Amino acid sequence: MKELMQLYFKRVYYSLMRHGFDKTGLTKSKIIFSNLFLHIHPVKVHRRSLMFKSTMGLGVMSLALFIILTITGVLIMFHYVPSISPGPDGLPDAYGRMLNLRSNLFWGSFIRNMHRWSAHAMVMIVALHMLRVFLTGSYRNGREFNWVVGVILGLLTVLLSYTGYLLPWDQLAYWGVKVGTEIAKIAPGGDIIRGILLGDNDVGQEALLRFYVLHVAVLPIIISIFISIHLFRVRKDGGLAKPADTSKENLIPISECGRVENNSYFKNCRSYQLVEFVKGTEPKVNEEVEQMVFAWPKLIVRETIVIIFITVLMVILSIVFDASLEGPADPNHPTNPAKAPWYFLGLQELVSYHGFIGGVLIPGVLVLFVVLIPYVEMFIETVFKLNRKIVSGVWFHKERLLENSIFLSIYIIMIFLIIMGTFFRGENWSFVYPWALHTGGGH
Amino acid sequence: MIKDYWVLGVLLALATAGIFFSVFNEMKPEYISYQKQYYKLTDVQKPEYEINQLNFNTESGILIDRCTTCHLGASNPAASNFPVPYNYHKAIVSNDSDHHNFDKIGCVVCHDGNGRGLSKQDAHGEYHDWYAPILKGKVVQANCSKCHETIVNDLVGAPNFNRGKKLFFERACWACHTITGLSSGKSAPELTDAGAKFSVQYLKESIVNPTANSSISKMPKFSWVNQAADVTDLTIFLKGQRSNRLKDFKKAPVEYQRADLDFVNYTASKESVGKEIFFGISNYNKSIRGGCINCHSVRNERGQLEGGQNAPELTFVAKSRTRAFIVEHIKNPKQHVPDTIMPSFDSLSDQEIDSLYKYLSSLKFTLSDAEKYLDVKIYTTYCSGCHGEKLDGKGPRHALLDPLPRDFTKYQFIKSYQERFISSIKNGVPGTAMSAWKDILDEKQINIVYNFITKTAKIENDTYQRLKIELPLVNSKDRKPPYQILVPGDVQKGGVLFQKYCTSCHGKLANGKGPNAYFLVHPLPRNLLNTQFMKQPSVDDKRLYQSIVLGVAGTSMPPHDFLPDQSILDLIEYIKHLNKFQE
Repeated sequence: MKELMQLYFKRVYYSLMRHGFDKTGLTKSKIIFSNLFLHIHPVKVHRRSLMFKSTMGLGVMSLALFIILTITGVLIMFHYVPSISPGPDGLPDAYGRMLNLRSNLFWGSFIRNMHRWSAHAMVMIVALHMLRVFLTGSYRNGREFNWVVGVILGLLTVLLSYTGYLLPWDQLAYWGVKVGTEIAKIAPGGDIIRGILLGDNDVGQEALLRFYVLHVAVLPIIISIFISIHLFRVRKDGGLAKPADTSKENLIPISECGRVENNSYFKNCRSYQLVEFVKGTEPKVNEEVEQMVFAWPKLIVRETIVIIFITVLMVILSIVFDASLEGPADPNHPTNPAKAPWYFLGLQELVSYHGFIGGVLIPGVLVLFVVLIPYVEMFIETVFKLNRKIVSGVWFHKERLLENSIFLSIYIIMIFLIIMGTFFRGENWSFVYPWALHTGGGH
Repeated sequence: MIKDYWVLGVLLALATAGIFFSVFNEMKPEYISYQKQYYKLTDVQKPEYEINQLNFNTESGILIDRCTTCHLGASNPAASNFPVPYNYHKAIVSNDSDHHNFDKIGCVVCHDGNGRGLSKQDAHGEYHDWYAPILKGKVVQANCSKCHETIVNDLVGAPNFNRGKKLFFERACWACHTITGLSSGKSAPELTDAGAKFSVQYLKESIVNPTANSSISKMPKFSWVNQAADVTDLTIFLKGQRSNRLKDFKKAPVEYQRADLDFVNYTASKESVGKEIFFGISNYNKSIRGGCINCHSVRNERGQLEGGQNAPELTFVAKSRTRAFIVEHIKNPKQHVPDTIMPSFDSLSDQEIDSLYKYLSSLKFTLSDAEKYLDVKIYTTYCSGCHGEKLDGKGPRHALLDPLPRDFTKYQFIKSYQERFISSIKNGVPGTAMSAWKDILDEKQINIVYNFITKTAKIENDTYQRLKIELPLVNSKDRKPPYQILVPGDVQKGGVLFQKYCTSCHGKLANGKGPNAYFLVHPLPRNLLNTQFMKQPSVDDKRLYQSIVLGVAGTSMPPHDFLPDQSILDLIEYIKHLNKFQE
């Protein structure tokens, strides 16, 4: 009977998982490729990819924040109603729901705080991720298009954050979005885009509904697709960008990456040998096999660390700081100053100098430049026959001084403008010192 | 590898702890600690902690009210001696017949705030941009008007509000501001919905310092604003002004007193009546539409000044102006001085205006024989209120006068216009606040004050000499190339020239409020539409010509000697045409 029960449990276990947890190379590779959530990883990764300096975990953090945002967002969706029709107490329904979240819905304010802070954090982390990729030159050598996908992901992140900004329907939301959409008016054809986005001549019920649908359905689906493309291409291009020869580098010792037993088969190859018959360079296999270690457990543990780290950060932020909720949106009482969300404040600062140049020309050229920068570089190198020996995956490569300086300058200027707009602009957009900054209207 | 597991373990522990902490926090919200305190005070064993919610159904929506979740003792008389926030809420009207049932109407209806909130800051609405932050103390009287009628009647439980309403008339607010049902002033923003639009703080600030919230406000800064009680009561009254009410006041339970806002109806014109109107205080404890004293001042027989510093002193006005002028000025002040901020008082009856005139002519103050011919004494008595002790045109009342009083320290001006000076003192300057002094001061006094001003302005020490030029005659030659023969001025051409050379200071409308006028100092550009000023005999073509060509000494008007005579003749014609048009 005992043996029969053992056999039964074994069969149950086999129906769940097809591998054990012993230390053989075969099991380690099975753990990765027989699991839906892990199989985006290769069985073996380069030791360099495991190190903090190569990614700083920013890409994983962005993904983790996206997952946090999805979970908290769905929880908020159970309560939220995208309607401005007055509720029983005369307040717009959407806003009343926000008041409920804050006052009497169990765990409501925590979930809302998590969602709000994670959204802000995601915009920040994605921007830093882009900076990292640029400064290490990781978009070169066949990964140019993935950079474009990445920029699209960045824009989608900002759009998601911006569409979510309106939903609480408080003064901050209303006037922030109002300012943002007024900026759109300046662009040629911006009126049409604004009209499509708002569904009306002004920010109102239609705009709220459209922003809601974009925020909870359309944009998340689009961004999910692009995230898949982004990760898939990274994987097919052979993981993180790295120099061809890393034998001189000081990497994590192999002994740190978990014990491997009975590894005769996987000693000399990276994974399945079948793909080696595919012509061309993709997918990449068997480069520097001796530098490769099993993804399980080192990579998975390190990624989990990054995910949990950003979660803890968000939890602490949400406990300590409450997301602001101001008075209900009142189209007759503009806040003074009316400020867009922080990531648009650089833009608003530029607009305050000149509508078209600051609001359309500079940001338009900037986005176009950022999207096309790998191809610009490629063009110059091809046409002028520059044969630069640039190793991708290395921070601040000597031969990339010019590119890095330009890109870093753009970042610094944008950060400066954002700080300027956030802390140094008071009533009527006049210059004030942060300690003299007080926002208020007629109320 | 082991290190990674440790880091992961610590982070996992932190994440779990953080999430549990947030859940745990949520399980004991702020109000439970309040409820615990309360039940300790009332010795309740095994209390149940719960949210108390009350929905007050008004005609314009439900008021959600969770205030008694923390303020548990509000309707428990035994809790009279409990500390805030557990104490008993006393009846609003301090007698037995108070009909307010707090268990039915709740707290938000009177105290504002955010009734749904369950933490202190949230519930009291003391966060940024919440439209109705909590009202505490006597300011709550402002919210009686949400349900009760307060225009015709006085509410028993709202003494400060009622006093504020009286002050609205006593302090002459009514003359400029409209509140539907109470007043119909046209010179300032309507206040019918002031309470719904503005916070208590904003209203108070705007009364004490009118330019604090609106930098272009022309509202005078009144001398009584340092009386905190008056400002508070007036604020409460204004906070209570709202056009949308929660309930039709006819349905609200009535506990009214007749308002003492029955305005005294004067049938006879008497000096004593005039005095009452002037001071805004009735002898019969009834309200009066009056309050001249808030801006104007008068002197009693002993020479003590009383009243506001926002408009000319009126002690001598009955002698310096005619009766017809005064009556007309009360009804339509802009007829005489186009830029005055004085509102029209034509709602006063003829008897009331006549009474005011009688009161003003009863004012008898003169300098004693000993002081009569002392130059400093004459100047400080009659002139310095506007022209200033230092003769700089910045007396205590100068700020709201338009045109501004002449600055005598600009000696070039005085030296240039000496011959006109005596005449201005004697006959006044039409279109300005300067009145004729020939019936108040004798010939000798006028000479003394003239000498005093010229001496103090030190014109003798200066060698400045204004050129003497004559108005060019038609058919003579232009003084500038191409030396055309002059023809009479043309209005059309003058208009074009005016828009080109004059508008930056005198404005497109020629009203003296051009874009550059904002940066100029005393004296400001002349309002060329001031018909009363422009049509006086001394403002003839010659004077206009001299002022344009040479500029006006001691002012911001620069010389325009680059203009040909023909252009100046056109300009003069245009300016004269403007004033014909005005009439």
